[in-house]
Amino acid sequence: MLLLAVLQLKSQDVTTSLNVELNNRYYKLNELIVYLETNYKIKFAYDTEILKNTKPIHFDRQSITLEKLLLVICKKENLGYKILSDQILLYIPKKVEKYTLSGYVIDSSSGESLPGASIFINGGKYGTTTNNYGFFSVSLTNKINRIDFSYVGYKSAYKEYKLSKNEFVTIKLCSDQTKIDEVVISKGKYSTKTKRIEAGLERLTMEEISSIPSCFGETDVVKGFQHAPGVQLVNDGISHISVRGGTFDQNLILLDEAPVYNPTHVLGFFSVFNPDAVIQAELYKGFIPAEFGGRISSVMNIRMKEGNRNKLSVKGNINLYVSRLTVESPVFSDKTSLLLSGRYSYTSFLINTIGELSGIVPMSFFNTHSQETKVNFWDFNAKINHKLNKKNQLYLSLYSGSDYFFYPQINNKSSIEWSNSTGTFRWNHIYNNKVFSNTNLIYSNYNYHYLFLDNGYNYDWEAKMSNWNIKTDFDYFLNSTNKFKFGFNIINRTFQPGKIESIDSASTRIDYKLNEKTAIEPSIYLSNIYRFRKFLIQSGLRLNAFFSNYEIENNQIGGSYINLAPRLAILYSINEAQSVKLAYTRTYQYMHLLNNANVGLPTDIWLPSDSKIKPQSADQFSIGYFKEFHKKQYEFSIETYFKRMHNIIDFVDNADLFLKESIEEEIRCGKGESKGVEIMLSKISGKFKGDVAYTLAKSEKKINEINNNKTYPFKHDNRHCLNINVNYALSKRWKVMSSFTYKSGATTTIAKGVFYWESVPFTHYSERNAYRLPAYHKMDVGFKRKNKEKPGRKWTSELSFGINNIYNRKNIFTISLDREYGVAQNGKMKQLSLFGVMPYISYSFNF
Amino acid sequence: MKIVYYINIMIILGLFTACEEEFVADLKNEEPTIIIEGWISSLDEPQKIIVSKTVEADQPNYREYNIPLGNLVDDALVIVSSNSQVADTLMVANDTTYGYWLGYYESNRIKGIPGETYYLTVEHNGKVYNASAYMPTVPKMDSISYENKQVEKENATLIVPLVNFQDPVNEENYYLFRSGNIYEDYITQEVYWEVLNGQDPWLISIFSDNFINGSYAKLNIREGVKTSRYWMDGNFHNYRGDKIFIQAQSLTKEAYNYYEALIAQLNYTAGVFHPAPANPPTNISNGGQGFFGATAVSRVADTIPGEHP
Repeated sequence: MLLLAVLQLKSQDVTTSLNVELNNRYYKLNELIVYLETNYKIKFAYDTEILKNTKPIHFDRQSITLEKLLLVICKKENLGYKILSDQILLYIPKKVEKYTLSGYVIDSSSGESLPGASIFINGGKYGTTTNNYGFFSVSLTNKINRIDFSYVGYKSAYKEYKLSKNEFVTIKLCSDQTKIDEVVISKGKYSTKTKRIEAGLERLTMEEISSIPSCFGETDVVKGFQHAPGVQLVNDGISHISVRGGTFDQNLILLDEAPVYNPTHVLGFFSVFNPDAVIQAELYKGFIPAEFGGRISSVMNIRMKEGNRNKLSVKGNINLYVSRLTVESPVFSDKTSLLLSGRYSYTSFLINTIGELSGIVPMSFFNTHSQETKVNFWDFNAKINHKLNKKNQLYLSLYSGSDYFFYPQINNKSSIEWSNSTGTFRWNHIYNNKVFSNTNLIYSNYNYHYLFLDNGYNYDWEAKMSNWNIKTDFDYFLNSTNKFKFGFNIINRTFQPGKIESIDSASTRIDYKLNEKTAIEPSIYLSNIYRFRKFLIQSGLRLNAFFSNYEIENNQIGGSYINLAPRLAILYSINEAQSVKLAYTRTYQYMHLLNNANVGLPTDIWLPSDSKIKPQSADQFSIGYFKEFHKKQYEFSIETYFKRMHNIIDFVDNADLFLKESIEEEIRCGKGESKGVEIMLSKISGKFKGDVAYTLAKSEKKINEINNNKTYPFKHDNRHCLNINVNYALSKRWKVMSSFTYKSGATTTIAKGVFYWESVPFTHYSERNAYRLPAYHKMDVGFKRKNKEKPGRKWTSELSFGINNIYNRKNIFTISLDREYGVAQNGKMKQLSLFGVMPYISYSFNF
Repeated sequence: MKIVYYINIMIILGLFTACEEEFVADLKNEEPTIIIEGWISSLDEPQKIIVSKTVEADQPNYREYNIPLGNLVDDALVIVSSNSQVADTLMVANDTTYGYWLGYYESNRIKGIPGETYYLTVEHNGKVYNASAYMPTVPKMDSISYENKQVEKENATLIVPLVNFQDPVNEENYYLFRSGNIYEDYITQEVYWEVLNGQDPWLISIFSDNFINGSYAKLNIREGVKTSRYWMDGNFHNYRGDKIFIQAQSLTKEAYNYYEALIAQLNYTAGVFHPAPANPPTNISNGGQGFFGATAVSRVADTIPGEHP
């Protein structure tokens, strides 16, 4: 029963802007009420319960508005107030119950879960996202709450919830293919760059990648990232990317959590990731969350689709070089889905056809040597996904692919074969509505062969590396401002650095094998995302360890390393459309790639760290400013980074890597530094979309005993890099796209001439990487045409055609000494360009 | 059908227009580098030092042996000294009969003595280059022995000379081997020891004593580190009855590394396993290339047993 104590005073309306004068002292609540009532004639109505257990309040100001005074009182004493016309009602607010809403966000037509979908509560400025498996968990009061869900390329949806207990839901979003002829004002708040906490994160859905013209109209994940600032292709023709001045081996490339060591198919036109099987790809260039470790430049996290749970879906593409087919289907019920995807290329068939034609039609630009090339690849993806029950889901992903390369123009004495295979078995488990776990058992294998055909010495050189790992990650959604992630990973690695076997019956049999090396890499991490007012802070700590143990020339060479890698990212939202991001990342890497970047072919020798080769590490700082404007149609960012790398390696002068047991003698280590500014402007919605990305960067290193201990540039030290990418929807069916890339010249060591010794001529070289090659640039144009859509017709198709390198720029693939009969011709060099102008046509279908 | 026709046209129109062209580096502003080839030897001959400039890469496209005259430097100041001997300024060496320049600088006063350290200073166009070299001792080459070797490719049995000597124990020794023939002039009765100085292939081989350390060696000099085209015994064309000699020279580790790098360059094949081509490790300062070394020489001669065919 409410006892009202109403003091008999003359009634008047309450004005909250009334200034109240106070003394500088502590007031007890009842004293304050009496003071206000006496001096200001303010009437209070309250339950005497509130006077119990009050704490004295101190005011530091002499004069304070009534509104502020009431706010302070209520906050300190946990009360609520309500202004009735002539009185102020003070009350103890009812305890608000909070419940958890958790569940999955999925694609309504295929049932595919959507990772990284945005979730906003009550139109709030800040939201949360679904995790890598489309799972989310939010804490709501027991009032009516409006939750908005959105994902790029899908229509946003909202739902209202009034919870009286914890609930588990499945949210279905519809894909938004049709609205290209209207300016779409994004009411849905996509997880744009401005809002994402991770500085330097590029996230692409396949929708976004397919708008970038790529080789032969083929969408490609790795090429899609090239258009982001700070990411460059090291060499035309090979998908080795350099992120913020790092080398290729410093990128961790994951396909459904399994590491992939060579993401390139032959000639670098295509990466090993079949675009029809991929749902999302992320590239972490700057801040790397604590859940990732083992490489110091970047993490490329690629997630395969799960497979359509609801109906059979077939998608395919045929073009001049490669064809692909993807089949997705539910199996028996919508609890299980299957995805099968394959690609096969017949590139050499075409090269050889042209070679044959050149014999018939004498035209100067034909490549007369191309009759014997053999350049082929295939790859295969399979994924099975089974929902045991609401709380448990199982996945099995498999990938395998293989390449064969024999291109006489580049090297007519050897051919190369390489293949990657990965397998991941995964179990997702929801413990309660706040904890989600993901456990993986992963296998990954990479091997490559060189076949040498050399005057009776025909042999097969092989190297490989493989690993098994077990990995668990937990997502703990504590409340709306606090989210934790923790887990561990144990990797068992095996390296076979070189083995040679003669493959014909020549009299000299040279079977030789370097010792296998094994290593174990356990790690454990904890990270937290915390929202505080306008700040979003992600902090993490990763503890990495590495133990290797093997024999080299009868010496036990092993290493034990334990390192701590802290990570920190801070996002400050200036307002809804602008933000500033700061990040600091420290990373460690226990594997090193010895790679001859002169030619850019995969002469990959991977070595583990040991007592002689110390682990690489890097510290990266970055700060950036991000802004969305013009009703969120445009996004602008400017980001600067500084990276310092330790224990990076390089070859000594005249290194010899062939079957060297103690290969450590051919390398030296030192430090590297890379810094740059990345500027990007994108138009993200409307008929006309595009982006311009510019990077100004410098990367150099200083290695012990190399180049006289002076600093010298990395091979990929391209000072300027400009990428322009546009696409325009001409109509509902037609689209035109174009892209232009400019990159200042890479560095290389060149032959400057000849010097004599005992009257024998020898090549005279420049200092290492002292020479700058000419700039790289090219332009591509393409068109896409969809077939007429008829209602009720399931079959859709799209024709894509265009020209790559429209002005026939001969970008240099490699330069080498000009040799005749194996003998260098007086220090002259020759350059090889792989691609001139190349038209393409490709046809995709879907039903 | 029209589509198929257009597709065919596109295939024909320049797919895979890969092309190879000469690469011309933009080196206009660079000065040629000075190369110094200098040896102080223990033989009783004048010491010779060659100073030359690098040859630009736009010379005619065939392999030219012997330094083009225009690249030899004849206006440098070359001084050699040692701890015990007075410095000597080397003079351009001219042919005694006809007076033309032989292409190098020589000194008649500096003696090559094992155990000494020699110092070289070369001054040219205002730049000064310095180097120093220690002359290690060389063990005496005792004798030559022979073995028969079946060479399948030539379908012949060749006689292979082996040089016998004692490798010093507890020392790191490096050797350079050459061979030669001894001729006698019928008329003047003068005896000439002529070292085989082939350039293509380069007829030298180097050894480090890792495998023979301290033992008494019977070495086939063609099994050392050498250019791959040198392995064929047939290159020597030694016949029974010929008078041959084998010459061993001592090398410091630095000099060994220099020769090893030169040989590696000649053996450089496809490049995939040789990622970092560079100049051989010079001991010349101030941007000079080449090498200054001091070597002790030991020779042993013999007549190949049997009848001259």
